[in-house]
Amino acid sequence: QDVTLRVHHFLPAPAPVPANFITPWAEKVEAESDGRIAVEVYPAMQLGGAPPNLIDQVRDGIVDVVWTLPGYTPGRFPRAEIFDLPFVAADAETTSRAAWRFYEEHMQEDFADIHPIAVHVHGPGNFHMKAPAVESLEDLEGRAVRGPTRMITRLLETLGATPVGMPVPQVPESLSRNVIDGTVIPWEVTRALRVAELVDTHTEFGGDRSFYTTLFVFAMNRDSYEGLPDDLRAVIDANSGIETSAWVGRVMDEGDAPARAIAVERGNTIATIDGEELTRWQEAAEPVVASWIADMEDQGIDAQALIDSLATILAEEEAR
Amino acid sequence: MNARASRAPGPAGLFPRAEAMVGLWIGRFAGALAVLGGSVLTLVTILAVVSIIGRYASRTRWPVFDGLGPIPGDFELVSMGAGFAVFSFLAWCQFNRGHVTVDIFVSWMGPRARAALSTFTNLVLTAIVVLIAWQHGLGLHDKMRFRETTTILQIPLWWGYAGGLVGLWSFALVSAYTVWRSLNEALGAGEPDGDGI
Amino acid sequence: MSGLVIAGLFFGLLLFLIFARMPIGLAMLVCGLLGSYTIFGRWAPVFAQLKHHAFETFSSYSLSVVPLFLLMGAFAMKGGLSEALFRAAAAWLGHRRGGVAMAGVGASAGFGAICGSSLATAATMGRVALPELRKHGYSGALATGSLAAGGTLGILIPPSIILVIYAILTEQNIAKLFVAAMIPGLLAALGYMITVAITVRLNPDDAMRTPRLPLMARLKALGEIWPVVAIFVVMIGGMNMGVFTPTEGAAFGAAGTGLVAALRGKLGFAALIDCFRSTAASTGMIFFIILGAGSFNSFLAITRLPVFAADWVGGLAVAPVMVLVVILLIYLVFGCVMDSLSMILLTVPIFFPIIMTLDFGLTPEETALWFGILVLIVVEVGLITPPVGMNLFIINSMAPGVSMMQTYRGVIPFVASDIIRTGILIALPPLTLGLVWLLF
Ligand code: NA
Ligand code: NA
Repeated sequence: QDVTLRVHHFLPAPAPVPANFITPWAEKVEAESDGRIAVEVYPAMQLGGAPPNLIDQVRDGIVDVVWTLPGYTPGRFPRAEIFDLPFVAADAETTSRAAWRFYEEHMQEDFADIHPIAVHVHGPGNFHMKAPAVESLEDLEGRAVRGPTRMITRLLETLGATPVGMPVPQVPESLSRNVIDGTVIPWEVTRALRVAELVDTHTEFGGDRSFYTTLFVFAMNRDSYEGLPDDLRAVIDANSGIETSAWVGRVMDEGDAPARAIAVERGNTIATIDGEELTRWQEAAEPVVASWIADMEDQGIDAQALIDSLATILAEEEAR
Repeated sequence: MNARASRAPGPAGLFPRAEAMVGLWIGRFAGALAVLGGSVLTLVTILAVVSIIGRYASRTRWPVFDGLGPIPGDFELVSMGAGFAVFSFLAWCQFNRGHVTVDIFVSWMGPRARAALSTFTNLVLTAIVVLIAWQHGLGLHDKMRFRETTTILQIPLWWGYAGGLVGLWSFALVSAYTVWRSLNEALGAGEPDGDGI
Repeated sequence: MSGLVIAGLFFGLLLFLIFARMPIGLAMLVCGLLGSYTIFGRWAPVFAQLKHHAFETFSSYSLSVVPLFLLMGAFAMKGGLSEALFRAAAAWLGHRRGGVAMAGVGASAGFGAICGSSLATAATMGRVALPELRKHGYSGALATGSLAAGGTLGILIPPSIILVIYAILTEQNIAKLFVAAMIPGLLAALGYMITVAITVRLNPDDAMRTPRLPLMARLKALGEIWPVVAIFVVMIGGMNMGVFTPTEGAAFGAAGTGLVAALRGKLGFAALIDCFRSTAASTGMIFFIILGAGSFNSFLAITRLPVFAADWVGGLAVAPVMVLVVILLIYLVFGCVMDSLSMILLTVPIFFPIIMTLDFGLTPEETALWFGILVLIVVEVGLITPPVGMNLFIINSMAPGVSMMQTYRGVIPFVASDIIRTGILIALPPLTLGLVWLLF
């Protein structure tokens, strides 16, 4: 082969995205380049560092490709936080298509020193809590809930919870020793972490928008990309962009159902926030959007325009 | 057993008196840094205990404990505080010859030959620590430029890097001094036994 | 050059540098950086690894448990908790033949219940018990040998820094590992006491007896160890009942021992400074090795050595237990010349995936816990196997007039007891896992 691409990410190899996207993507690239590109995948942070380091590892060329969350480095990708806002996103596949278009329109500068191959979101975020179940805003009062990113912990705090910020691998242990009362994550992740065994209740949201989601990026080192011969760069290009983003989004969506089935099988309570209660939640969450817009203004970013633009793009993708 | 006791009278080597004087101050400095780190570690201990009590109290749902809860962002404060302590401890460990070595294959060497070997390893150590401190400074620059913060308290990450940078450059400084110290031991009476741990 | 050859070359260089007395952390950094350069062919990515490596390693929440446990050990030493333990153990065991040495082992076990480090346990108990042993006519060999072995109880009985590191490396539950270590740790203490009893029967010159104390005096001595018991119960209980994380448990223990020492008037300004400095020296030592191991392990990962090694063992046509025994023997051999922490950091990422592919009739989690305890024991044996054993050096340096050869001779029966115990634990996994099944 001519080129070896090292791919580094933070989840164990059998998790849905590594198994159903990263490995097949690697095999596809190897095949379409007639074996001239070799792809080595290193799961579970095998090459060292913690998940927040991934973005620097790909930027500095320690590895060639990473799969990571911009939200792991709060403050660094301000525009990407729009996907963390409450009641903004739809299902993962559609929102991931929109996310790619949003990236092309608004975030090229943020990601200027890396080469994104796909940007996508996960399925709708839900609550996974010890009893009692979260059925109304009041049920959240004072309970320690883990959130993944800056905006989501702010959302939890605004809604009355005590937010705890920790990386996802620490969740099972923290649940088992009552350091947290619960966590927000999409269904798909609960399977690998065995969350259904550690909590008693789950809370989903009605309506056509998710409680929250967050952005992921599958990106290549800029020099590794630009250093490829034209025909090999064409292979990477053919496996990048909106369709590739939609592919990961679909894998995320498809991972939700089997994970939810485990919770059902265990007899856990599954509550839904819908109707008037959902309206109360949406109103209670509004200050988070306002505070984000104010934050962005401090940095000279017109956030309201971004929110409007994303709404338009998402509506177009939903209408497709 | 004790080579220091059998050391030849009168200092030897490269500016031995200056080395002793510098060593005195370097040792005081590294010791002070270690005490600073230890104090921060003690604060971390107290903070963690207060946070545990707050969390436990808030769960009892007794009215007396209303408004109590874990300290917000306690995980971030504990890791940053303990991290600062660790950075501050490295210089003291090096000054005390505290790094773990396997002596068995060099036990046949005399104290002077061992000091010569230490001069070499301390030189390599100094080079590597300078490299780490330099790169850590570049990392600090990245964190500042990208305005990264912690998740809950939104403490700028570069503050943590800046604290670490002090520890790393102090470690480099002490390492450089220990090159001089072991060189003079090699030219003089050799390396003392049984230091460190 | 294939990754395997490069890995082999730099592993050889690493051993050479370590045996040439380069600090272990430094040797791993040198080999990790040079090895990565060999693979990348450029310095830029190698240097870039260092930009965030130190901060990420030192400011990791799960690793912050290490300085906290070390601070706790320093406070416990200053607070006189070790002396109280020794007096209590001597009151109950001293009148037996070899009783003072047994008391040293018992007190080490008690100290091990609140201290996570073997070196701290050996140093502390050595200071308290060595003069007593010599005063009661114990031979240099038995006195230093039994205390060096007793020191390993600091790690064998939870809490234990080595287990914390193992849990981090293998993503296991620390609380479960601590529970799994409980019975093997008590067996170790019992085994050492039996070893003392046998040794003094074979060499009656090794020890004299002390008079038996009246029951009231014994109960009084027992009453004085209540702070140790209280701290241990709250700390281990809290971690296992789910009140706090291991890091918080360590913080609680450090605060508790600090408070006891302060209330006893033993934590004045000078003593506090002493505690900080000794914590600094041992923390710096451990984290410098962790830093080096991180660099070396990233290098090993890009050579794909762990993958090749796992494939190779997977292709061997021998019983899983034989693979396990071979791996443990490798640890024993390396333990004669290497430090336990660096061995864990260097080898667990290679051996653990291999063990997890084998079928011992246990679930993956049970296998991970059981292997963790076995590794813990064999690396701890390394602390007391001649010629290089940190506990042997510490205790011997505190015993003027006892030659290193005498200490080597004195510790051999205790090493034998360790090996017998390891065999029993391999044959009977429920000894390790029973309490875990009961409590979780
Ligand atoms: Na212990
Ligand atoms: Na040894």
